[in-house]
Amino acid sequence: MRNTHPIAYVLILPFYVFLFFFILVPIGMNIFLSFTNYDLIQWEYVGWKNYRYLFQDSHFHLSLRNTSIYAFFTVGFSMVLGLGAALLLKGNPPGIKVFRVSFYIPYIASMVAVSMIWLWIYDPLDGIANKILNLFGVPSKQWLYDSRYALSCIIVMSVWKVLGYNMIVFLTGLQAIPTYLYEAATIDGATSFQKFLKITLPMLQPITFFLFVTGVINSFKVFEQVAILTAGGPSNATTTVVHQIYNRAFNEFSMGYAASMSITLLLLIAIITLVNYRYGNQGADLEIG
Amino acid sequence: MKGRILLIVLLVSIFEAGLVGAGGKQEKPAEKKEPVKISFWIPGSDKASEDYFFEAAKEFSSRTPSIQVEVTILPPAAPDINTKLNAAKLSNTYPDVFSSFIVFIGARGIRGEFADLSPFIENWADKDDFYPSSFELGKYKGKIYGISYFPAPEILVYRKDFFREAGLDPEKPPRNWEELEAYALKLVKRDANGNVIRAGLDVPAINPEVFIKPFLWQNGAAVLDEEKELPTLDDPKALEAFQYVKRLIDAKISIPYDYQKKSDIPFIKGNAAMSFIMASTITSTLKSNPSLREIIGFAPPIERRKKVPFTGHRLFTIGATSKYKNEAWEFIQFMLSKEQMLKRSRLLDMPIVRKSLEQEYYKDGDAEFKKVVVEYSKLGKSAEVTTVTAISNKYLSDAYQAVYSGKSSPEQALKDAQEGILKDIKK
Repeated sequence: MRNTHPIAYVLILPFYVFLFFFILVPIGMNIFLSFTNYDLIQWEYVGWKNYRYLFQDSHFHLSLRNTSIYAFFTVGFSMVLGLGAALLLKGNPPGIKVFRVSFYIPYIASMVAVSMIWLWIYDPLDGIANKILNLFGVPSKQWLYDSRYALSCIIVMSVWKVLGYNMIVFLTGLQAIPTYLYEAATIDGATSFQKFLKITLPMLQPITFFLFVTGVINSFKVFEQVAILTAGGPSNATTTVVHQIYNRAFNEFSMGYAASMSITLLLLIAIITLVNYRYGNQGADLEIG
Repeated sequence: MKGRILLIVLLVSIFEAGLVGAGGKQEKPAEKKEPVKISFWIPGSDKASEDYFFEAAKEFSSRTPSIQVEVTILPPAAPDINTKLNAAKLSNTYPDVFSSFIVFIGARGIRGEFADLSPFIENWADKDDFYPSSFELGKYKGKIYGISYFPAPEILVYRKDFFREAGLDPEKPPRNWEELEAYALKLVKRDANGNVIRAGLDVPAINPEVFIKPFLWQNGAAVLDEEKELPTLDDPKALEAFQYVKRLIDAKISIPYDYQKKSDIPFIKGNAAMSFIMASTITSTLKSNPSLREIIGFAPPIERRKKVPFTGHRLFTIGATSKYKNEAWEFIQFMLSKEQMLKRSRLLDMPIVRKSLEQEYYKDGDAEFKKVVVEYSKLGKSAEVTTVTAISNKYLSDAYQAVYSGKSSPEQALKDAQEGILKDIKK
């Protein structure tokens, strides 16, 4: 049996105090509120009523659908493109750092500022997106104001924003792969594509897993870009779960009902993460000798 | 011995005098009361308006040294203000005085966040000088939660130069639904690909509540029965209004935009011939570009069965949890004084709400604009003061956007909205 020095407990205490007061207590309060009709003034216990209404609430159903579509495409595209960018920028030719920084800048920029720029890009009259289309003779689109394109527009913006982060993390992973693996494969006559499939991708599994899990969690929490670019419209085509939680809680003051949505979202994210941990290959079994 | 006694008496006297003197000095700070500090929150608009409120607060504090006013400028949009107020409510830092939009009276005031001002108003000598609507607008079940000091109508503005270009008489703006539609069709300008490059009339795509409601009201319909707090969108007159708006949408006479984003309104950017725009936005646009005054015209309120434009209002309210309600009321009285009201009308073109100022109001500035503002304000209707306004607005917006995007017919959209509101209220 290992002896743990008491000072170790003292050192980790601040973290657990923070965890308790700022994470566990709010989650506990949220669970409690989800069984009430709290409206910032008074509350009454309502049992499972809020959860039952979730099954009838068409706005919530739409928001779940939109959030899932958003998460699927944002995570998928940002990972594939992030890996592509990392492979392109992995070498060390002169000026490469400029490109790396350029890709990374959107990630550190404020979402509000970025959204304002994309509002201009998507402007139906003066936006650069339509100007480019018009150059090729394609008629202008209404982008954010057309329910067929609005969610895609938000996905494109989000992929652009997170791409640099994924690229940097993949780049770190690529640089950590021992070069002798590639040298051995070259001697064995492997093509570049075979090396990518048999060495690069398997060696990047832990990083891919990390980016996938964090990407899904972040995508399910999408809110700012929706609030700024479309306010959930047109025709609820871009409303997301967190956008619905915000509207119910802070515009309609249905705090209890919003709490039930939050708990549902928490469970959903927890299930997705657990399934990933259970069945996703984290690359823990990789041996690089 | 005598000398010693005298010396002792003298020393004791000096000591006592010192004590009395010191006591007197100690009492002085107790007499000098610390000034009371009250907080005043106001939604932001333009710089001139924000400067005025800072100056007014300073002036009040210099005249009434016992009350210091701390001004906080809030974000201009209602959802952001809601966030600030929620945080203030939960952290017990609610403002003493808040310049509220009318929509907050229903959403927050009647839910116990604003104090009932009736006891203050009852004993107020000036109350009879105000238009009755100033008190009626903030009234709910006999209690007055706010006093309107700033009617903010949505005025139909038009470009005279574009009218001339389209062969229309710039002195004859549209007066009814038929003319509005016909003029918009004549005024729209498209490029070779058929894209609208100049809207005939601004028809919003997102956040359309303030745009659509007047069409319902003008046709004798309403979103809610305010007494019963129940939806009334199953009224055939509401359907007729929606069908009319669908015709405007289908005619493709506009460039889509978000009605809440004032800086993105195509008319403001010079990309529309007609638009419904808030009076204060017109004022700030004309201030930043005075040359526009010659080419911008103001139409009278549009008529169908009735002439009912949308008129938003700003109201002075007192936070229900304020410890300084009397001081807050003193500040509100100062802000509603004739002097301050005239100052606002001169500096910011804010309409007056006191009967005795009518003559003075028209003396300076843009008389034509002022007359239009007053006409719109008198005929205008505001957001419904009910506990279910936020919910009904959501479903009204859904119905409009479903029609706008072609997903639903007006009949289906209104049916869905009516059922949705009822279901949501019962939740």
